[in-house]
Amino acid sequence: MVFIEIIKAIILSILRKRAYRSLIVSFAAPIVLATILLSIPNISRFADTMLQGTVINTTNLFVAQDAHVTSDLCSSVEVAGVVRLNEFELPLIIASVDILLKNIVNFKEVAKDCGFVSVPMDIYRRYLDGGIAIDDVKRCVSHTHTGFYAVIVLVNNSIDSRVKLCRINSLEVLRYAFKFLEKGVVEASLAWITALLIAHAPLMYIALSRVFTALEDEIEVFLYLGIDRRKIILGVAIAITSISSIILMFLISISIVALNTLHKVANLYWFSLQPSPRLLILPIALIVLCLTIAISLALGLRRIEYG
Amino acid sequence: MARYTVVVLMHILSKKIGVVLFIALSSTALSILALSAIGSIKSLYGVYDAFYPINSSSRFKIIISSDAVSPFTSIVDLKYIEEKLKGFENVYLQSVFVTIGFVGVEPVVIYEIKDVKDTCAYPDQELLKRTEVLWNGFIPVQSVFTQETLFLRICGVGEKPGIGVDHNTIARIRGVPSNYYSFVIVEVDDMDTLSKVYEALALRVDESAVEKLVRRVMLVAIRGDKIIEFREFQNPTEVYLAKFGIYRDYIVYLAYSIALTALIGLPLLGMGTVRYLRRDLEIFLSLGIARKSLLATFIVLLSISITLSSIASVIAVAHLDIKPLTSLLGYRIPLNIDSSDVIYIGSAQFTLCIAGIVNELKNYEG
Repeated sequence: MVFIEIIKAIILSILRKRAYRSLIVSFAAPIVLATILLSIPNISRFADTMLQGTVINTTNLFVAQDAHVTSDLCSSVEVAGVVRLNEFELPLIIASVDILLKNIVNFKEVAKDCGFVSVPMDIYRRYLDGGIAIDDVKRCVSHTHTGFYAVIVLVNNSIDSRVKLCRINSLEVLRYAFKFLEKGVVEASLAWITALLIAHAPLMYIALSRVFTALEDEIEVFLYLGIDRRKIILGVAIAITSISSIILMFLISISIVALNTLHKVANLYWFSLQPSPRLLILPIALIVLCLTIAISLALGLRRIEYG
Repeated sequence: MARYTVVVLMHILSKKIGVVLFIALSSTALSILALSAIGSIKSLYGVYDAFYPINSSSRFKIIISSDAVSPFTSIVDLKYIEEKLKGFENVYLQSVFVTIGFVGVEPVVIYEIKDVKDTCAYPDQELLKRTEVLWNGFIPVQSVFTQETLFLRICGVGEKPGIGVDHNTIARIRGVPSNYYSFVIVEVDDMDTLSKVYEALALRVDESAVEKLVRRVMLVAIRGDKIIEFREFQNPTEVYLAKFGIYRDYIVYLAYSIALTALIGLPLLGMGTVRYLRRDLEIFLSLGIARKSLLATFIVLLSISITLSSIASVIAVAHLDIKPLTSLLGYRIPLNIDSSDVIYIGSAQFTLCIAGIVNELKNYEG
């Protein structure tokens, strides 16, 4: 009961003496910046809307058909083997164009949905001679394609002989490129925020010492009343942590609201990307809180003494 | 007053050097972070500049690009430009082709090399080291645009990051006929020819705008469908990023806002310094030294430590390797930091620190 009274009294004193202001100043930079930097727009989602309109329509050269070939092909042509790629088993079809044309009525339509792999003639010959195993094909295509339905080797004596790969969607690769960029920016932001947190630790120490200085009278009264020193240290630390967590939540919320308001205002005048806050901010806030507790306890042990 | 200031300063430097070091270290750390934030954001904004072979010749230049989201997706019909500029003398066209492809799961820049064999590839040394998808001396390059994968023979090592290939191969990777390029740089010798080129390209620009644009040297005309629509940009990257709603001015504001926010805790450093020296300050005040002299001492102390920390941070930032922000697709992009940035950051640090000191000194009675 005494413990709760200590916490209550300390919280009220911090609020009354406005000692929380230095805490706000010390938390502002890492938390506000972490919220802003970890809210960078989700660019890969943007690829679905904006890019189809700009890249494809402007150039008119972006091939974006879906493949519907697997069942059609596999039911008509003998499957020579299975290529295992990324946990999936894909049919490996070795057939001449004539056979394919004979067996599949709409082969020309099907071929439209296939991506081509141009294989240099000497490698192709080695493949035909059996010099290259299926594993080599698997190794090659598994590195270059993330999603396709079948590996079709068209056996033909002409120079144009190709390995055909039927794929899912050409935008996948582009979306992947954006994810790659986004991941890089988030990783760099996290590294920068970590460095900022380290640089801010001395400032947090100064802010918390100011809070302790503001609480000197109250602490003296508690000691005079004969309350256990450890209880006082813990009570002060819990009170500071409670206020700090409220300040952190306030700073995170205000940053998100400010970002969204800015986006909405900006969107009235020009197209602007929607910020997408990430939950990564919560572990960062937790680290700040842990740092606050550690510094508070250290300061308490040093400054709260009998007499 | 000057004498008292020197006395107090000498006392702090001789007896409390730890305080000076604390200020210098904290401000150096924050200065490094602020400068790297500004430098990284500005560098990221100018990311595509590396792909423009703009030499420093005195000719006037117009860069013709399509209405695209990056130079890798932009395509311009060279024949169309040549037809428009037929009969002009002293007009030099430089066509550049860059696009993007995938080697394995890694996106790489594909650029054009003149006079090389068809199906030959010249990947850079780093790429050769990184990638494990080489297949008996061949490198598989997947086109983002056609999904076709080309197995290109490695005929040598390229000088630039990415893969150098001949024109037909890059056109095939981009999925365009051979008369297309990423952008065309039109160079002219004099202003009169420049005006005629504008006219020929159907660019409606009034005289004042021409003068303004010429001063900037870098011009970009956007081509959409069959009409050349003229727009003015400060640098090539702005053309492309504007499509995402990202404009140069806002990026610069963002960079400086982040840097300033990173420094916002500095008044606490000033307060902490005064607090740490409180006993010495109280003695000086009791000896009759005015608060103004103490403030002057702190101003001198801060000026010295912030100047030193700024120099240290510039050296540190120049030698820091912040990979994710300073490299794109293998291209090393140096942090874009001006001397003015260092001065702004130093001034902001000084102002914030001194604000804290003034605020804390108020509590001390003379």
